[in-house]
This record gives sequence, structure tokens and C-alpha cells, in this order.
Amino acid sequence: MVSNGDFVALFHSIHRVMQAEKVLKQASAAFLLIPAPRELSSACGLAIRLKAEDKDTVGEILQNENLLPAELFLKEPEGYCLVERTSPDDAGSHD
Amino acid sequence: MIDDASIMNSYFDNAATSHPKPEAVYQAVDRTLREAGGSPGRGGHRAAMDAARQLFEVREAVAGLFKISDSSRVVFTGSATEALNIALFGLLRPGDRVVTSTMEHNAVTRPLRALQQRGVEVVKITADRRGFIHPTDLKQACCRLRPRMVVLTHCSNVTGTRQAIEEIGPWCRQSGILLLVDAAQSAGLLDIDVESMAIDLLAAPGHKSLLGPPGTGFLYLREGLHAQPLIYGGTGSGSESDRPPDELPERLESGTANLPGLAGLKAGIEFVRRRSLAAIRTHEQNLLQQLIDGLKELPGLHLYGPLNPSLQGSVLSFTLEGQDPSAVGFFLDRDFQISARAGLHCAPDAHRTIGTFPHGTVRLSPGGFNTARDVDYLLTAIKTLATKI
Repeated sequence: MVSNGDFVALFHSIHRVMQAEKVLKQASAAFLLIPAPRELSSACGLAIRLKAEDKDTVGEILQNENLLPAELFLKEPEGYCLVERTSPDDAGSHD
Repeated sequence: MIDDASIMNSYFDNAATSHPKPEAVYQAVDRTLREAGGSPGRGGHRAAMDAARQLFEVREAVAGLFKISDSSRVVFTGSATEALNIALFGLLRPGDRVVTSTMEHNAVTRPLRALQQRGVEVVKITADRRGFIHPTDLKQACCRLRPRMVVLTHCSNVTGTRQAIEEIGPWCRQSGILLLVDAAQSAGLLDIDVESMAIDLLAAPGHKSLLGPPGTGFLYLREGLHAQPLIYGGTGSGSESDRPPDELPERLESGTANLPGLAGLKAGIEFVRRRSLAAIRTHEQNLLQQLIDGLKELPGLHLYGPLNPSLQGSVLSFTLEGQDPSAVGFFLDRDFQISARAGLHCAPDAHRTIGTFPHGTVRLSPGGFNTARDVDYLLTAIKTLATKI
């Protein structure tokens, strides 16, 4: 499901994942909707997996839509490493 | 019997719940119940993911109709009543002051009464005999009382009277007062734009003019409003925590979603959009005018409300001199198979305002599927009763 070198984006809200999926599908971006890996337990249950080569393209699409993931992890042999965290203000999802 | 009611639509209680529904609504409920087996947001398997996608699409449909830019601010509920309860109990605190009106439904009046006992101050602005809240009266009261929130019904469920939300909303926003609108009788009939009307909180049922099934409704909360949940439980997110998530819509949607019902609501909204709000409104206003014209000259019959379809929703109340409205409703049903609601319609303050408390009125609320012929039949029935009883 997730190989070393892949990225996993968490949104903390199923609704946000659905929004992101719609936007990425419309843009024909490469991504995979997956159940959130067990180690990343703060997730909403669903996550988006990105291959390293698609990370920047997808990131740009999501940023343009104000839909940056709450957290972005890199899968490494020893486990997941948090590489980006978006504050609620930047993600536009605060209430 | 004047006519064979079975070939007509003699249902005139659309203000309670609309009937019938568009064929697409029945089909959407059936299809979803049969084929979309998963629970939205619960699990990563395809059935759960498909269900989550479907729920997302319903939210987008609601957001689109009410010009809500961020659909995550739409929270689904079982009814407008639940939506109103979340808004009121979720945001008001002891010491807060609320300004409301004497035209409210018990879905507003009763939660506010309960909140009064918890230290929330409630002030009711008296409407005129036709049910209108004069914006000047409301503004004056707000200037004096500096409330945290104004709560108003868009259209009365007793008289149809439409309040000037487009004037009151921007004024409240400018004055730093939250505006909660009860759109039970207007959602799916009147144009509602939460931005231009400066509505902070909008509560609406899915099963009236939006033509969805009962058991559906929603609350819109403007960005920045952080309401306490009314119901706590599983949301499919942040499961390691024993607190509800901060994010909307999950924060206020604990428990399994009523996806079949909401799929029906989406089909209802699509039907309304295809037909257009303007076309639906014109049709229902014509029926209302036909009713008013047919009833206003009847001796002993009193009509209530604006008696001007452009100033009201699809609701008309009447009484027959010396007759208990319940008896009139009973005879309309027994002798003519006409469904009309009699009594207080869960809005006692409104009846005190228009002078029909405690007996109430007979309420006629035509819907999009009624025709001029149905109204002719209804008029003949009322005329017959008026001369007979």
C-alpha cells in the first residue's frame, strides 16, 4: 500500500479528504486514496498516498484550492517521518 | 363528494412535510439503501469510501443552493429542529442575550425557554397582526439590548409572513450580532444567499420545499463559529481521542449518517434546481392567490397574514366564525379527503400575535405538485363547509 519513499497526506477530516480527492481527480493527478496507516493514528481514517515524483504537482493543486493536508509524512524504512504540518489557518479549515 | 379526490392531489399540508416527492427522490433512497452499503467515513473499504463520496456530493449540493462557499460548514441533522438546537445550545452561554420574535415556531421558542432557565436572557419582538417584524423595531431593540444573537424565522409557518432577512442580516453583521435564520418554510422556495443576506447560521429541513425525505435537515455555520456538539460519539476521525474533533462537519455529526435519506435530499435539490426556484415560486404564488381570491369574500371566513403571495411563503391560515378549526379540519378530511392542518401549528406565540390563540386556525399549504384544479376542489369544499356547518 505504501512503499519506502512514498508520501502520505492526512487531513484530519473525511470531508477534506473527499474535497481533495475531487480536486485531484479533476486535475487528473496521480494519487491513491488509502485507509490511514495504523501508525498515523491521529488521522481521520482515510489518507492520500503520493509517489515522490507526484508530490510537488499534487501539493500545488491542493495549495491552489486551499486544501493542504494537515500533515504530510514520508515513509522510510524505519517508519513514518513528519515532513510538513499545515497550521489550521493556512489550511483554511479552522472553525 | 364533489369530485373523486383519488385522482387529485388533495394534500395541502406541505408546510408540515411536502408530499408527494419527485420520482427521483424515491429512486435515490431505494438505490442508496440497496447499493451503497457502507457507512461514510467508517472504514477504508470501497463501500465506505463510496458512501463518503456520496455524502460529500450531498453537502456540495446543499452548499451550492445556498451560496455557501465552503461545504464543510454544512452539518447534516435529522431535522431543522435539531439544527436549531445545535445552533442555540451549541453557541449560547449563561449571560448571553437573544432577541427573537413572537412569530417563532416551538423549535425556536422551546430551546430558548430551556436556555432562559440556564441564564440566557430572551427578548421577543412583537410582530404586527399580519405577522411582520418591523426591521426598525428589531434594530431599536438590538441597539438597546446589545444581544449576542438574533433568531428569526424566515417565513412564518402559521401565516407565511416573510421577514426582511436581506435587510436585517447585513445590519446585524455590521453591529456584531450573530443571526440565526430558521428557514423551515423558505428553503427550496425563496432565494437564500448566506453571503449577501449575511446569515451566520441557517437551519433548514430537507423534507419540506427541498423535497427530500423526512429525517433530513442541516445547519450552516459561518466560518469561525465553533459550536459545542449536542450529540457526542463516533465520527470516524481522531478516534484515539475521547473528545470530539474540532473540524466541521465531523465535530457536529456524531453517529452514522442517514445516507439513503440524504441521497434523497440531493435528488430533491436537483429537482428544485432543474425546475428553478423562480418557477416553483411563481407556481405556488399563483395557487396562493387563487386561494385568497376564492376565500376572501366568503361570509364568516377570516383570513390571516399578509394576503399577498409576494410577501409570504406558501401558507395561508383561516378560521370560520363560530367553528372550531379542528372540526373544520376534520370535515375537510372526512368528507373531502383533503389534508389540511388545524390548531396551533406548534407556534402559540404566533397565534397570540394574530389573535387566534388558543383555538388556532386551519392552515392550507399548497406545494409544487398541487394544481389550480386541486385548489378549485379545495375552494369548493371549504365553501360547502362554510354554508353547511
